Amino acid sequence: MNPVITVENVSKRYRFQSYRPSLRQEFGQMVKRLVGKTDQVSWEEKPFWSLRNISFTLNAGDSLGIIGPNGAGKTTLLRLLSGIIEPTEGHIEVVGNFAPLIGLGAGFDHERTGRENIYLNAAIQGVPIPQIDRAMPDIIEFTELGEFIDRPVKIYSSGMVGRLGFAIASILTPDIVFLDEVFSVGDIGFQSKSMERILAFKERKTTLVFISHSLDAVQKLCARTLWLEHGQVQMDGPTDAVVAAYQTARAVREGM
Amino acid sequence: MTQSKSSAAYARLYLNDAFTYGLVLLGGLLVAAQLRLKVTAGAALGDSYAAQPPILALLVVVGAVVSVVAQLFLQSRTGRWGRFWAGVVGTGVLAASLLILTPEFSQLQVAYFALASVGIGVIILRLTPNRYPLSDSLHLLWRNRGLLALWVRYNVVSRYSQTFLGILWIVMLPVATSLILAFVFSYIFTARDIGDAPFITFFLSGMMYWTLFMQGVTNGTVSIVSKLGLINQIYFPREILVLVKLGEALVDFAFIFVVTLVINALVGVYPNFNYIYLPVLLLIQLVLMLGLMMLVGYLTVLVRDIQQLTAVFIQMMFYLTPIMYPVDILTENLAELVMFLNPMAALVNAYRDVMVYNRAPDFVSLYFPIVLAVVLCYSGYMFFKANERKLADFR
Repeated sequence: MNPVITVENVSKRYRFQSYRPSLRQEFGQMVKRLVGKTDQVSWEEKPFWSLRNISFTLNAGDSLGIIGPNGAGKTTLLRLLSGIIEPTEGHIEVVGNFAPLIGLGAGFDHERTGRENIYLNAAIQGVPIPQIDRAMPDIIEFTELGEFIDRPVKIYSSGMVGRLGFAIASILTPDIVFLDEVFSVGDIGFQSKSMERILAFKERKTTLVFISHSLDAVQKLCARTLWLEHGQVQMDGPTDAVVAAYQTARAVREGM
Repeated sequence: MTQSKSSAAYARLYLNDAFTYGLVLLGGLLVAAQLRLKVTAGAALGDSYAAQPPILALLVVVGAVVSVVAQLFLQSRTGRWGRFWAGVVGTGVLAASLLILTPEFSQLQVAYFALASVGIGVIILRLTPNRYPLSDSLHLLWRNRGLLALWVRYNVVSRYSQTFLGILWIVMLPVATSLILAFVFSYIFTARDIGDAPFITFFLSGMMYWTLFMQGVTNGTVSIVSKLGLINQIYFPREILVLVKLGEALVDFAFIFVVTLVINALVGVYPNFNYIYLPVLLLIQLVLMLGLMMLVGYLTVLVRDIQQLTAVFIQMMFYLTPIMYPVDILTENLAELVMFLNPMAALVNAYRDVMVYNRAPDFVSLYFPIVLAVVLCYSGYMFFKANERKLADFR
């Protein structure tokens, strides 16, 4: 079986400071370069590697959990997989349709109504408009928004925004799903509904890549887990073993 | 996503290259024709100009094929410069066959052609660092056409649903400006020699297309920057953001067009048969705008000052475009320079031929705008697609 996700020696370097030159700085640098003064501190000299030499492959139907402390590079990895950014080094190949559910509710236009945002977000994810039309009642029911669906998103609570974001996932039928912190929104009831939807993805043999700080959820969903630390793979293996090692390491660090 | 390189993918890449070479050669030919004829403003198609024979089209195709074959042999020279030398070979073959097969082309003109081809080729190569099949990009774009339509509709509706006069504002601003300027130029300044046409018709025939151009390019500068948040969260073909701005400008233009027809009718100028040329002229303008918008949209993300620079540049272009004045009032040399440097000048002149003077536009004077538009749009798009995944790094 051919792997659906191949990640080979992928590294991502970020510029240390946000590099957004104005013409003034550009001209300054140009003059310096012309004069031959090359002692300028450029971002090249202060690289920050958000990810370093990551490699793994996933087959169709696999589910991979990604855990690690804040700033370990989890979200960067997901952004690389979904094609938002490209790796500085290495090679990534993703075969098939994928739906990124990254930072739910992100990407909404807050001036528009919930209904308009459903259309826009689903269309951005590549769903044809007639299909959105058909799925609309289902989505609205899932969000539990009621008449708020035709009010601007700016008056929604953060839980409502999250529910709206997750609801859009219900009409997607991707081969691969990327999930990032999807359980940080909503109450217990909504979280269990979300979990049902994700389990439904699993039953359809959808490949899952799942980022979470909730180790319980990772253990429930993923057979295999990748533990990232400072942009490098600390451990890669069966979920139970990796989670146990991660918890031990965290306990030791907090104990000190 | 990243796709494995099958033989079909390679075939598409070479098809893409053949298209590029064909474009370069055709562009060179058109520029050469215009340089020889030294066509100035509004000159009707003269006897000196014989329609380009079909053999030229055939030669361009042959040249493109020769280039691709040459590229196969030059592959070891790696990427970019391999393509350059392949293009030079194609240009050389085409130039030689021009000399032999078409005696009506002078040697000087063939030299013009070769120079123009190499120039256009260098521009295209500079702007397209990676080879990336055009068909893949267009296919993805086509699949997202629903998103494009949705976005344009929401933007237009939300822009005007909250104001009291609503959609009227689209037409109010340019029309009010036109009326004021028409009054100023009709009564305060002495009237220019613009023929029998009423000044307002003369003015609007240029102003409406200029408004489209200005609105599109100005909004194009912020098209990407204003959506960086979304770009950071999800992948979609980024050129949609640029196309949305173009779509919005077109919607506004449609309203202005209708109002202009009404105003023209009020002063006694009615649509004529030559209006069938308008879609062609509009297409040239849209292709030109799209190329510019993709370039300024991308560059504004890198250097924010581009937004202000573009505003100043457009202001300058306005006075270099014969909108408030007929191009005849310029001295011959100046007119030639303006028409050559400013693609909108030739376009406005052509629109005016149709809408004011009821005659066919002079397509020879449009050679240069056509070449510029296609080269800008093609290389701009290739540049854009090759670099679009870097956008999310510029937060």
